[in-house]
Amino acid sequence: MLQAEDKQFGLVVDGINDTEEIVVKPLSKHLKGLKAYAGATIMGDGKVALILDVLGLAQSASIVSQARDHSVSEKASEIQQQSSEKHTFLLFAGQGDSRMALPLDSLARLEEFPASQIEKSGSQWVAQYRGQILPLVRVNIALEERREKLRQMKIQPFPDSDTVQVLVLTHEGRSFGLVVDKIIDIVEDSAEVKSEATCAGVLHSVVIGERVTELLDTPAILRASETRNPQAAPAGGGD
Amino acid sequence: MSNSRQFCTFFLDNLLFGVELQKVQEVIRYLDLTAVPLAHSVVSGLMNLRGQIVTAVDLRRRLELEERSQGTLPMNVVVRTSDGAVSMLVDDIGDVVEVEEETFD
Repeated sequence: MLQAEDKQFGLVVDGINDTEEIVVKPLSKHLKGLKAYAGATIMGDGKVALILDVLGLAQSASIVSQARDHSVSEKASEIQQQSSEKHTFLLFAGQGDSRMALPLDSLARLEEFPASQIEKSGSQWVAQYRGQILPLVRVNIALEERREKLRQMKIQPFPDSDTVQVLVLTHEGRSFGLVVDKIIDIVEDSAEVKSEATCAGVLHSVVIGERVTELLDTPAILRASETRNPQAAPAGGGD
Repeated sequence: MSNSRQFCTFFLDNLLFGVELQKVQEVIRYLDLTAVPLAHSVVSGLMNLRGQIVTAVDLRRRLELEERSQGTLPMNVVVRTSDGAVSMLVDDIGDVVEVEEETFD
Protein backbone atom coordinates (compact mmCIF):
# COMPACT_ATOMS: atom_id res chain seq x y z
CA MET A 1 0.00 0.00 0.00
CA LEU A 2 1.31 3.39 -0.97
CA GLN A 3 0.26 6.95 -0.70
CA ALA A 4 0.79 9.83 -3.08
CA GLU A 5 -0.88 13.19 -2.75
CA ASP A 6 -3.31 11.91 -0.15
CA LYS A 7 -4.50 9.10 -2.33
CA GLN A 8 -3.91 5.55 -1.36
CA PHE A 9 -3.24 2.94 -3.94
CA GLY A 10 -1.84 -0.54 -4.08
CA LEU A 11 0.88 -2.01 -6.20
CA VAL A 12 0.33 -5.53 -7.43
CA VAL A 13 3.64 -7.34 -7.28
CA ASP A 14 4.67 -10.95 -7.83
CA GLY A 15 6.28 -11.29 -4.47
CA ILE A 16 7.94 -9.41 -1.68
CA ASN A 17 11.56 -10.25 -1.05
CA ASP A 18 12.71 -8.24 1.85
CA THR A 19 12.96 -4.78 3.24
CA GLU A 20 16.33 -3.20 3.14
CA GLU A 21 17.96 0.11 3.74
CA ILE A 22 19.61 1.30 0.60
CA VAL A 23 21.43 4.22 -0.89
CA VAL A 24 19.53 5.55 -3.86
CA LYS A 25 21.76 6.64 -6.69
CA PRO A 26 20.29 8.88 -9.34
CA LEU A 27 19.79 7.47 -12.81
CA SER A 28 21.91 8.84 -15.60
CA LYS A 29 20.52 11.65 -17.70
CA HIS A 30 19.55 9.20 -20.43
CA LEU A 31 17.00 7.60 -18.14
CA LYS A 32 15.91 10.69 -16.21
CA GLY A 33 12.85 10.99 -18.40
CA LEU A 34 11.39 7.88 -16.85
CA LYS A 35 9.19 9.17 -14.08
CA ALA A 36 8.50 5.72 -12.72
CA TYR A 37 11.96 5.49 -11.18
CA ALA A 38 13.48 7.43 -8.34
CA GLY A 39 16.90 5.94 -8.97
CA ALA A 40 18.80 2.73 -8.66
CA THR A 41 20.85 1.02 -6.03
CA ILE A 42 23.38 -1.76 -5.74
CA MET A 43 22.19 -4.64 -3.60
CA GLY A 44 24.28 -6.76 -1.29
CA ASP A 45 24.82 -9.37 -3.99
CA GLY A 46 26.13 -6.76 -6.43
CA LYS A 47 23.04 -6.65 -8.58
CA VAL A 48 21.54 -3.36 -9.64
CA ALA A 49 17.95 -2.74 -8.49
CA LEU A 50 15.68 0.00 -9.74
CA ILE A 51 13.88 2.13 -7.18
CA LEU A 52 10.31 3.03 -8.02
CA ASP A 53 9.05 6.55 -7.64
CA VAL A 54 5.65 6.42 -5.96
CA LEU A 55 4.46 9.78 -7.21
CA GLY A 56 5.68 9.10 -10.73
CA LEU A 57 3.93 5.74 -10.78
CA ALA A 58 0.72 7.26 -9.49
CA GLN A 59 0.89 9.90 -12.18
CA SER A 60 1.53 7.49 -14.98
CA ALA A 61 -1.42 5.40 -13.82
CA SER A 62 -3.51 8.60 -13.67
CA ILE A 63 -4.25 8.03 -10.01
CA VAL A 64 -3.11 11.50 -9.20
CA SER A 65 -3.16 14.39 -11.62
CA GLN A 66 -0.02 15.27 -13.49
CA ALA A 67 1.60 17.71 -11.16
CA ARG A 68 2.96 20.92 -12.57
CA ASP A 69 6.69 20.83 -12.99
CA HIS A 70 7.57 23.15 -10.17
CA SER A 71 5.16 21.58 -7.75
CA VAL A 72 6.47 18.06 -8.13
CA SER A 73 9.38 18.46 -5.79
CA GLU A 74 7.24 20.54 -3.44
CA LYS A 75 4.67 17.84 -3.19
CA ALA A 76 7.30 15.16 -2.87
CA SER A 77 8.80 16.90 0.11
CA GLU A 78 5.33 17.43 1.52
CA ILE A 79 4.72 13.73 1.32
CA GLN A 80 8.01 13.07 2.98
CA GLN A 81 7.05 15.39 5.79
CA GLN A 82 3.75 13.66 6.22
CA SER A 83 5.39 10.31 6.40
CA SER A 84 7.97 11.55 8.85
CA GLU A 85 5.19 12.13 11.35
CA LYS A 86 4.12 8.59 10.87
CA HIS A 87 6.16 5.56 11.70
CA THR A 88 6.53 2.44 9.68
CA PHE A 89 5.87 -0.75 11.56
CA LEU A 90 6.40 -4.34 10.77
CA LEU A 91 3.38 -6.30 11.91
CA PHE A 92 3.61 -9.91 12.89
CA ALA A 93 1.41 -12.46 14.54
CA GLY A 94 1.72 -12.85 18.26
CA GLN A 95 0.17 -15.42 20.50
CA GLY A 96 -3.26 -16.52 19.50
CA ASP A 97 -4.72 -13.96 17.19
CA SER A 98 -2.92 -11.00 18.70
CA ARG A 99 -0.84 -8.66 16.69
CA MET A 100 2.59 -7.38 17.50
CA ALA A 101 4.72 -4.76 15.89
CA LEU A 102 8.21 -3.35 15.77
CA PRO A 103 9.31 -0.07 14.25
CA LEU A 104 10.71 -1.01 10.86
CA ASP A 105 13.78 1.14 11.32
CA SER A 106 14.85 -0.94 14.29
CA LEU A 107 15.24 -3.97 12.04
CA ALA A 108 18.32 -4.77 10.04
CA ARG A 109 16.79 -7.38 7.75
CA LEU A 110 14.06 -9.93 7.42
CA GLU A 111 15.23 -13.45 6.89
CA GLU A 112 13.72 -16.83 6.40
CA PHE A 113 15.83 -19.72 7.57
CA PRO A 114 15.15 -23.32 6.67
CA ALA A 115 14.50 -25.23 9.87
CA SER A 116 17.48 -27.44 9.06
CA GLN A 117 19.77 -24.44 9.42
CA ILE A 118 18.82 -23.86 13.04
CA GLU A 119 21.25 -25.30 15.50
CA LYS A 120 21.52 -25.62 19.21
CA SER A 121 24.37 -23.99 21.05
CA GLY A 122 24.26 -24.65 24.78
CA SER A 123 20.83 -23.59 25.85
CA GLN A 124 20.39 -21.20 22.96
CA TRP A 125 19.05 -21.66 19.48
CA VAL A 126 21.36 -20.16 16.89
CA ALA A 127 21.69 -19.89 13.15
CA GLN A 128 24.72 -19.24 11.03
CA TYR A 129 24.22 -15.95 9.34
CA ARG A 130 26.66 -14.05 7.16
CA GLY A 131 29.70 -15.57 8.77
CA GLN A 132 28.37 -14.95 12.27
CA ILE A 133 26.45 -16.94 14.81
CA LEU A 134 23.09 -15.33 15.27
CA PRO A 135 21.39 -16.05 18.58
CA LEU A 136 17.70 -16.63 18.05
CA VAL A 137 15.13 -15.34 20.48
CA ARG A 138 11.61 -16.60 20.12
CA VAL A 139 9.23 -13.80 20.76
CA ASN A 140 6.36 -15.92 21.91
CA ILE A 141 8.40 -17.89 24.36
CA ALA A 142 10.32 -14.89 25.65
CA LEU A 143 7.03 -13.17 26.39
CA GLU A 144 5.32 -16.22 27.73
CA GLU A 145 8.08 -16.93 30.19
CA ARG A 146 7.87 -13.51 31.66
CA ARG A 147 4.14 -13.60 31.64
CA GLU A 148 3.89 -16.83 33.51
CA LYS A 149 7.15 -16.42 35.37
CA LEU A 150 8.38 -19.64 33.90
CA ARG A 151 12.09 -19.69 34.38
CA GLN A 152 12.86 -23.10 33.13
CA MET A 153 16.36 -23.64 31.86
CA LYS A 154 14.98 -26.17 29.46
CA ILE A 155 15.29 -25.15 25.87
CA GLN A 156 12.00 -25.15 24.06
CA PRO A 157 11.90 -27.21 20.89
CA PHE A 158 11.31 -25.52 17.63
CA PRO A 159 7.98 -26.11 15.94
CA ASP A 160 8.07 -28.56 13.08
CA SER A 161 7.84 -26.11 10.24
CA ASP A 162 10.00 -26.06 7.16
CA THR A 163 11.15 -22.50 7.56
CA VAL A 164 11.24 -19.92 10.31
CA GLN A 165 10.74 -16.22 9.92
CA VAL A 166 13.45 -14.22 11.61
CA LEU A 167 13.67 -10.50 12.18
CA VAL A 168 17.33 -9.62 12.41
CA LEU A 169 18.11 -6.65 14.60
CA THR A 170 21.12 -5.18 16.21
CA HIS A 171 21.14 -4.21 19.84
CA GLU A 172 24.20 -2.71 21.49
CA GLY A 173 26.41 -3.81 18.66
CA ARG A 174 25.25 -7.41 18.59
CA SER A 175 22.91 -9.03 16.14
CA PHE A 176 19.93 -11.04 17.26
CA GLY A 177 17.28 -12.92 15.43
CA LEU A 178 13.76 -12.58 16.69
CA VAL A 179 11.79 -15.62 15.63
CA VAL A 180 8.18 -14.85 14.88
CA ASP A 181 5.35 -17.08 13.74
CA LYS A 182 4.24 -15.03 10.82
CA ILE A 183 5.03 -11.67 9.34
CA ILE A 184 1.77 -9.97 8.46
CA ASP A 185 2.50 -6.67 6.83
CA ILE A 186 4.48 -3.47 6.79
CA VAL A 187 2.31 -0.49 7.54
CA GLU A 188 2.71 3.19 8.08
CA ASP A 189 0.73 4.60 10.94
CA SER A 190 0.92 7.36 13.46
CA ALA A 191 0.05 4.82 16.16
CA GLU A 192 -1.25 7.50 18.45
CA VAL A 193 -3.69 5.61 20.61
CA LYS A 194 -1.65 4.05 23.35
CA SER A 195 -2.45 2.09 26.41
CA GLU A 196 -0.41 0.58 29.18
CA ALA A 197 1.58 -2.52 28.48
CA THR A 198 -0.13 -5.75 29.37
CA CYS A 199 3.06 -7.58 30.17
CA ALA A 200 6.79 -7.09 30.37
CA GLY A 201 8.54 -7.16 27.04
CA VAL A 202 5.83 -5.00 25.56
CA LEU A 203 6.28 -1.26 25.47
CA HIS A 204 2.62 -0.42 25.10
CA SER A 205 -0.38 -1.27 23.03
CA VAL A 206 -1.17 0.91 20.07
CA VAL A 207 -3.77 0.93 17.38
CA ILE A 208 -2.25 0.19 13.99
CA GLY A 209 -4.51 -0.27 11.03
CA GLU A 210 -7.54 -0.33 13.34
CA ARG A 211 -6.22 -3.29 15.23
CA VAL A 212 -4.83 -3.24 18.72
CA THR A 213 -1.18 -4.09 18.39
CA GLU A 214 1.44 -4.70 21.02
CA LEU A 215 4.62 -2.80 20.40
CA LEU A 216 7.55 -4.93 21.46
CA ASP A 217 10.22 -3.75 23.82
CA THR A 218 13.16 -5.50 22.21
CA PRO A 219 15.81 -4.54 24.77
CA ALA A 220 13.62 -6.03 27.50
CA ILE A 221 13.10 -9.22 25.53
CA LEU A 222 16.79 -9.54 24.85
CA ARG A 223 17.60 -8.89 28.49
CA ALA A 224 15.11 -11.52 29.49
CA SER A 225 16.61 -14.09 27.19
CA GLU A 226 20.09 -13.19 28.36
CA THR A 227 19.36 -13.50 32.06
CA ARG A 228 17.95 -16.85 31.23
CA ASN A 229 21.12 -17.79 29.39
CA PRO A 230 23.99 -15.89 30.96
CA GLN A 231 26.43 -17.67 28.66
CA ALA A 232 24.36 -17.05 25.61
CA ALA A 233 26.99 -14.86 24.01
CA PRO A 234 27.87 -16.27 20.62
CA ALA A 235 31.07 -18.24 20.77
CA GLY A 236 33.80 -18.00 18.17
CA GLY A 237 32.69 -14.60 16.91
CA GLY A 238 35.82 -12.66 17.63
CA ASP A 239 36.78 -9.39 16.01
CA MET B 1 53.46 11.71 -34.55
CA SER B 2 51.26 14.45 -33.16
CA ASN B 3 49.11 14.11 -36.21
CA SER B 4 48.07 10.56 -35.50
CA ARG B 5 45.09 9.51 -33.47
CA GLN B 6 44.44 6.29 -31.64
CA PHE B 7 41.21 4.40 -31.90
CA CYS B 8 39.77 1.48 -30.05
CA THR B 9 38.13 -0.75 -32.61
CA PHE B 10 35.29 -3.23 -32.21
CA PHE B 11 32.99 -5.33 -34.30
CA LEU B 12 29.25 -5.26 -34.77
CA ASP B 13 27.71 -7.70 -37.20
CA ASN B 14 31.17 -8.19 -38.81
CA LEU B 15 31.52 -4.47 -39.41
CA LEU B 16 34.54 -2.69 -37.95
CA PHE B 17 33.95 0.41 -35.89
CA GLY B 18 36.17 2.59 -33.78
CA VAL B 19 35.98 5.15 -31.03
CA GLU B 20 38.64 7.57 -29.96
CA LEU B 21 40.80 5.82 -27.43
CA GLN B 22 40.85 8.90 -25.20
CA LYS B 23 37.13 8.57 -24.67
CA VAL B 24 37.31 4.93 -23.71
CA GLN B 25 37.42 4.33 -19.99
CA GLU B 26 37.79 0.59 -20.19
CA VAL B 27 36.84 -2.55 -22.07
CA ILE B 28 35.41 -5.39 -20.01
CA ARG B 29 33.61 -8.65 -20.42
CA TYR B 30 29.84 -8.85 -20.21
CA LEU B 31 28.35 -8.05 -16.80
CA ASP B 32 24.88 -8.92 -15.57
CA LEU B 33 22.34 -6.31 -16.56
CA THR B 34 19.20 -5.15 -14.80
CA ALA B 35 16.58 -4.39 -17.42
CA VAL B 36 14.87 -1.02 -17.27
CA PRO B 37 11.21 -1.35 -18.28
CA LEU B 38 9.81 1.68 -20.11
CA ALA B 39 13.26 2.80 -21.18
CA HIS B 40 14.17 3.21 -24.85
CA SER B 41 14.77 -0.13 -26.51
CA VAL B 42 18.45 0.64 -27.06
CA VAL B 43 18.95 0.63 -23.30
CA SER B 44 19.88 -2.94 -22.48
CA GLY B 45 19.98 -2.28 -18.78
CA LEU B 46 22.01 -1.11 -15.84
CA MET B 47 25.17 -2.73 -14.62
CA ASN B 48 27.28 -2.55 -11.53
CA LEU B 49 30.72 -1.40 -12.58
CA ARG B 50 32.67 -1.63 -9.33
CA GLY B 51 29.94 0.12 -7.38
CA GLN B 52 29.09 2.58 -10.09
CA ILE B 53 25.76 2.19 -11.87
CA VAL B 54 26.38 2.38 -15.59
CA THR B 55 23.81 2.36 -18.37
CA ALA B 56 24.49 -0.18 -21.12
CA VAL B 57 23.41 0.69 -24.63
CA ASP B 58 23.00 -1.99 -27.25
CA LEU B 59 24.97 -0.54 -30.11
CA ARG B 60 23.49 -2.99 -32.60
CA ARG B 61 20.04 -1.67 -31.86
CA ARG B 62 21.24 1.88 -31.79
CA LEU B 63 22.69 1.50 -35.27
CA GLU B 64 19.68 -0.51 -36.37
CA LEU B 65 21.69 -3.60 -37.18
CA GLU B 66 20.35 -7.10 -36.83
CA GLU B 67 19.82 -8.39 -33.31
CA ARG B 68 22.69 -10.29 -31.77
CA SER B 69 22.10 -14.02 -32.03
CA GLN B 70 20.94 -15.67 -28.83
CA GLY B 71 23.56 -17.18 -26.62
CA THR B 72 26.38 -14.88 -27.65
CA LEU B 73 27.47 -12.45 -25.01
CA PRO B 74 28.49 -8.95 -25.99
CA MET B 75 31.46 -7.03 -24.58
CA ASN B 76 31.35 -3.69 -22.83
CA VAL B 77 33.17 -0.69 -24.21
CA VAL B 78 32.78 1.85 -21.42
CA VAL B 79 33.13 5.39 -22.67
CA ARG B 80 33.29 8.62 -20.72
CA THR B 81 30.59 11.11 -21.53
CA SER B 82 29.69 14.46 -20.05
CA ASP B 83 26.94 12.59 -18.21
CA GLY B 84 29.13 9.94 -16.65
CA ALA B 85 30.20 6.58 -17.99
CA VAL B 86 28.08 4.74 -20.54
CA SER B 87 28.73 1.26 -21.79
CA MET B 88 28.34 0.31 -25.43
CA LEU B 89 27.56 -3.35 -25.97
CA VAL B 90 29.57 -4.64 -28.93
CA ASP B 91 30.16 -8.08 -30.42
CA ASP B 92 33.90 -8.22 -30.13
CA ILE B 93 36.89 -6.02 -29.49
CA GLY B 94 39.48 -5.31 -32.19
CA ASP B 95 42.91 -3.75 -31.87
CA VAL B 96 43.91 -0.28 -30.92
CA VAL B 97 44.86 1.34 -34.21
CA GLU B 98 46.84 4.44 -34.80
CA VAL B 99 45.70 6.46 -37.76
CA GLU B 100 47.62 9.31 -39.33
CA GLU B 101 45.66 12.49 -39.68
CA GLU B 102 46.23 12.68 -43.42
CA THR B 103 44.75 9.26 -44.06
CA PHE B 104 41.36 10.45 -42.85
CA ASP B 105 38.73 10.57 -45.53
